[in-house]
Amino acid sequence: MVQVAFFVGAIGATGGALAVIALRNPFYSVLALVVHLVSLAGLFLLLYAQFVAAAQVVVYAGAVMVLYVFVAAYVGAVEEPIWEPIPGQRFLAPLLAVALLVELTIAILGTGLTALDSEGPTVHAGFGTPAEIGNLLLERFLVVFEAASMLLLIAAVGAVVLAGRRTTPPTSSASRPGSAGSGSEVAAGPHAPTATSSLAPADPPSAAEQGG
Amino acid sequence: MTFHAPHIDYAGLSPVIALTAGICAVLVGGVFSARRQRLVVSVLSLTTVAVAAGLCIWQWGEREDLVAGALRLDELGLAGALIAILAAAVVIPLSWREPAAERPGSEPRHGEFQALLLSSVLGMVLLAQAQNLVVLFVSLELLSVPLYVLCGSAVRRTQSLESGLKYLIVGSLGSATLLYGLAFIYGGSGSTDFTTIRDAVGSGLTDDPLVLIGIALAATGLAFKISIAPFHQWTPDVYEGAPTPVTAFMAVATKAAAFCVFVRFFEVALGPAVDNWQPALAVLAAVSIVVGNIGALGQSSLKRLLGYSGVAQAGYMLVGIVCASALGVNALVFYLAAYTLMNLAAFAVIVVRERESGYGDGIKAFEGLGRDRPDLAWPLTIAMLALAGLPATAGFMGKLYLIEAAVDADYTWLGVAIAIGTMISLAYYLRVVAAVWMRPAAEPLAPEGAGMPAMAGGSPEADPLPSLAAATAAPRPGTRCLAILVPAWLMAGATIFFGVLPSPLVDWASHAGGALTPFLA
Amino acid sequence: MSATTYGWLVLAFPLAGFLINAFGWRVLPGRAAGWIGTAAIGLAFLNAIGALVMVLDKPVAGRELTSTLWTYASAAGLDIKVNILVDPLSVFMILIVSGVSTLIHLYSVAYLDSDRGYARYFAYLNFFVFSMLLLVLAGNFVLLIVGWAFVGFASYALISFWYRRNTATKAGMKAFVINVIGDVGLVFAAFFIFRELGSFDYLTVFHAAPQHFATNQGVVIAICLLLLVGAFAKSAQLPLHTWLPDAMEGPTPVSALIHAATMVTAGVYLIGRTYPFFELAPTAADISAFIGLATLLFAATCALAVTDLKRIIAYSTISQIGYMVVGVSIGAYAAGFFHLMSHAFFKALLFMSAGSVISAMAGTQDIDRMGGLRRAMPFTAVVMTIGALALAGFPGTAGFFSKDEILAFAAHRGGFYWIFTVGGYIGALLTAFYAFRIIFRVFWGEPVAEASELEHGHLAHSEPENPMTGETEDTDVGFPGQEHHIAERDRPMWLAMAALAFLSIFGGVLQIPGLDDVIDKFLHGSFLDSTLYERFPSIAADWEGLAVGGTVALIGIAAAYRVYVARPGTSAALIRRFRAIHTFLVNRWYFDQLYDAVVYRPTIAVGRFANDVVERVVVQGIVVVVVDVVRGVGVVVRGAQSGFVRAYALLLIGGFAALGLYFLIVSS
Repeated sequence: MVQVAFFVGAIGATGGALAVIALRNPFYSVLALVVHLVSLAGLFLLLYAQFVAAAQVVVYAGAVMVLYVFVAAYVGAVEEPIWEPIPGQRFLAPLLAVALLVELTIAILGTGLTALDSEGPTVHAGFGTPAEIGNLLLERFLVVFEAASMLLLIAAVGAVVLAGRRTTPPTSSASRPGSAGSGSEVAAGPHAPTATSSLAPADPPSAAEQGG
Repeated sequence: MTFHAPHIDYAGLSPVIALTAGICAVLVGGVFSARRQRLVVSVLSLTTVAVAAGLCIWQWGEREDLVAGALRLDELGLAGALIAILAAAVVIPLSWREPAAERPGSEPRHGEFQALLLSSVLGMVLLAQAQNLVVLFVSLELLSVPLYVLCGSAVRRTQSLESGLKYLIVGSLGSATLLYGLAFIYGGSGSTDFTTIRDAVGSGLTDDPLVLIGIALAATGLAFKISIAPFHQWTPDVYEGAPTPVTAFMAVATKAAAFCVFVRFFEVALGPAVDNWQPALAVLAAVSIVVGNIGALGQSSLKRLLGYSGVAQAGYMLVGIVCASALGVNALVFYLAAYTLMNLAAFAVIVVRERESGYGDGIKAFEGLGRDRPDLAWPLTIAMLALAGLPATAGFMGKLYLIEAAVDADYTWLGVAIAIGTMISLAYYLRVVAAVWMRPAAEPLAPEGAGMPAMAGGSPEADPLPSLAAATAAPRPGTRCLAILVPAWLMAGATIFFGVLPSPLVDWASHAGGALTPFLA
Repeated sequence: MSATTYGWLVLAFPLAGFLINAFGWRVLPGRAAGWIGTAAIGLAFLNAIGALVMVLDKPVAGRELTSTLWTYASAAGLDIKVNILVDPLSVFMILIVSGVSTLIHLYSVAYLDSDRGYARYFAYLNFFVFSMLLLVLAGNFVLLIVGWAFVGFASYALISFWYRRNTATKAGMKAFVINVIGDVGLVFAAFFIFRELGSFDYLTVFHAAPQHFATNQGVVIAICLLLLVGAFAKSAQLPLHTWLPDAMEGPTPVSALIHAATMVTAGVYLIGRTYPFFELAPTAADISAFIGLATLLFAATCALAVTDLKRIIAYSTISQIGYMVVGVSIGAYAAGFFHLMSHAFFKALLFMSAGSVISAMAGTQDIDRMGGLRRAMPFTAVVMTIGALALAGFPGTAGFFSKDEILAFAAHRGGFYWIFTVGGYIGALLTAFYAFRIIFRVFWGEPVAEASELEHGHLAHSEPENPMTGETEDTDVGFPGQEHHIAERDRPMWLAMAALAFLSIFGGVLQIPGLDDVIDKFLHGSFLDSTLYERFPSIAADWEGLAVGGTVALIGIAAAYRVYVARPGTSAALIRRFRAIHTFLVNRWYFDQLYDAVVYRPTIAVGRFANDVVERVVVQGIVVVVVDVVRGVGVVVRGAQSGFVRAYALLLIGGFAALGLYFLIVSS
């Protein structure tokens, strides 16, 4: 039974993650992400981490994903070229991904840690409950808890700084669009318009990182 | 279930508490002082910084675990904290007239700007003292998130936004890599505390592939933060795009804090596996020295140049970790302090020139500086010569100590690499010095208009722009501000002082090395 | 205050004077810069006296005092301190340096009055004195090298002081290049000492040397020869002497201070300071002594023929330093340093008088165009004659006692050392002759036009011209121009010259055989471990030497009188008769031409060959490859800097993949 649950969860999580990057429509990608997150929550449950699993479903699969769906709907579907435009990237990226996978697999399979093959530790009754986690946060991880709260506060301030509205009415119509011609070397072209535009679709996932 | 509150040594934790309180005060002060915001906020944050520095000095010499072993109070952590605090104290006046904090035609943002800066300092102080994987990661994020925002805070400049975004995305990848590595190390050792990890790794895990891949991932993540090649690529772009005071802060303070935790993590937690990670880091250091120095050669933007130079300097400093000896840690901390002094002096000059010349941070902006503004030319020259490692500067002593430590640890070839890198670096540092003293001043350009807001929803109608004529005729503010010039002189003076009389700084740095002595061979 | 505190103060005052003049030049009015500079050096001199008193307070065996201000570098076997060594030798030197410097500063206050670079001059001069005192007081080889390089720079800056004068900048460069050769020798010597003995500290090294080395061991000889390269470059001994005559392009007080009294004697000080090495390597010491002898004879012959007033005195300086080098090399340390002291007095005096004469002649330095100035400037004539008497070794003067003591010591030491005595007396004869050649040619005979004009109260008002090329000087850059001050008419210059004239006559009373031996006794504290120091000749032998020396001096002076005064045509007749020799001497033994032919031209030829063949084919090939590699790496580095975030992410992952691969390999 446990094995079945594990494989369902594992296949769901991996398949969902693959679908996020494979699907061309961002809206579907978000839905695939939901599948991934819910499967992860299932895996957490198998590890007796009920609270984390619940938080995963409520916060991520629930609240954050709703935001994502809104953003995807607001921005609309951006048609990305199916082939990577940077020549080296096209072949190197999959190659390195495979290399990474192989290396990590070797590391996990090759380890001498015996616990990996066992049923896992036996845990006591209250393990993974909110009370236990609360205790941990206020005892061992007090500093982390406080630092994380500061982090959230500052993230909010940062959002205000970046999105703050302007109050004064317009007084001048002189406009100089475009940015300063910076003196950087031609080859670098860090401000090539393509570079900026290529950033756009990458933005939402990173926001998730911040929101987490 | 019973609750056992951990013992909290408030004295040891006082710098952290002071900073946290200060951040809140600055935020509140910013909200309630619309009119004289800059003054109110700056007084608050400078007081915070001064109090925190004072508390760090008060705690100097104490060595103990804080709050259930989450933090380690010792000289190494305090040294990193002091460097970060010094950087913040210099950067606050630099930011006074930055468009990032003082947007023309809009509410000033000093409160937010300085609160972000201080919370980054808070992250650094925690990071430098972290001795727990979770604390390490959270404080690294606390350090980074405000920086992502600060980089993009000059919302009217495309480069600034681009810089912020780039830093955010690549930085997230770096953080993810680090987190992955920490998870592997936790998985292998079963603990998040550095000392427990040390014991676990020491008892038969030094050759375990799981732990070693974890080390590789963690090294990648940390190397990203300190701009070690080949994880450096964000550095020149982000440095160039970010508002210059933010670049200055990022260049020195991030490096200091990240290097402190790098040392602590590798020498303490991963100390038993030293034979395995030492050669890898040595190669990374050498690659950094080569890539940084060669990359800097053709740059015409001074901020980009200093970005690449920072890559090379990080390579030099990594040698201090590679040595895995008290001597290496001493040399590293000494160099961090010297690096802070030299870079802050250079960036202060760049800030002023950016405002008055119209050439931005291009090397053209610095031509003829020796004749027109000797008060700026000297700090810049001293900073450049010190970065190049000329004798009688702190940069020279720092490189000397690093080379000595490398030779002492049987990594003579790394010492040679430092020497060769220094020789290459002369080519671009002296180019700046030559531009300052030997070229006639370039024709002054009109300063750039504030440009169109690049952010979503911005429009020319809603964003008032100062007309070009008004901008040229008006005196350029913030170019003769003593609060900028005096720190620049002080930093340059200290660079010379510690080059001629290095022993106080050497003693200071050797306390930091002494804090790790029980863990070093 | 302790002796070392005085030592630090001796260093501090000139440094302060330098800083004030260097940064305050815009605001200092009139002669303020000069008075500040003079006061700074004067205070240094007072503190030097303080140090002397404190050192004399100690027992003879405990007079080597060190004081560390701070540790410069201390890690992994390297221990470099900023420390000074105050012992009888260094106190003796700082007294001479600061004392003579004070007088020359005083002289300069008036001499450079109308120069545009007045404050710059005093800033340089104070910097020089600081560097020289640092060189002398240094307690280790690193600090010595710092001082050594600083005085080299100060000398360069002051030779090229009139920087629009082509000949001056060229002379400055020549001096700098040759000094750098010496610096390299000294640095290598210090390196070998550190490698062998593991320290840079004087006292540590000197105490360890006798146990570590066998006599005449190869390494010690190598160290000594390298030290000699440094010493000879700075002290203008053969074959590195060619820069000193050219260095006369600088202002005359500079010639007096740097290129006569102080800096050029640094080589003698170095040999004396490192005597434990030289006593362990007698071969090197003998080489040094023979070079000194050759130099003293060579330079004396040159001084016979040269007609440029300052260059005659310059060759005389080279020759006199030859005596000192002989002295300290054969073990006559006290006599050598005694001669260093008296030489500082009378040579500074001679240069000052020469400066006075040159300004009276409106910049002319050629003695062929001078004559009969004694009535026009009686004071200068008197003091310059006193200087010449001391230089010639006229009985009773300072030079008489000091020079002959070296020669008596050589005779007393036995073996082949009598050569130095004989050579020294031949040199003394030549010295007496050329010293009075100056006096008789300049002050006697028919008054030239300038002299008679001066007698009638006019200053000579010719356009100042470069004595070397005859070009008109560009007075805009600060060359003093017509209003050069004449020594006797300006109080500070008069005072400085009078003081030095007094010292030139009575300086010798410090050490009169049989009566007193102040210097022997005092310097003994620095040479306690020496095996040669106390081999003084007997008093009778001393007096025999003095008698011979006095006779030689009188003969030389009489000969000069006969040639230049009694029978005025003799010199021209002699020149006609020995034209070949005269040409040879006028061309200074063709040393410059020799270097031109042996070093300069071959270097140029090799350079051309290298440029044509090696450069084009070999080096260009290598350089092209290296540059291409650097450029290629640059292209890769910058090419990777595409600005695309996903490209950066790719490299990050790629870097990790490589790192991970390494760790996996290590784990298996």
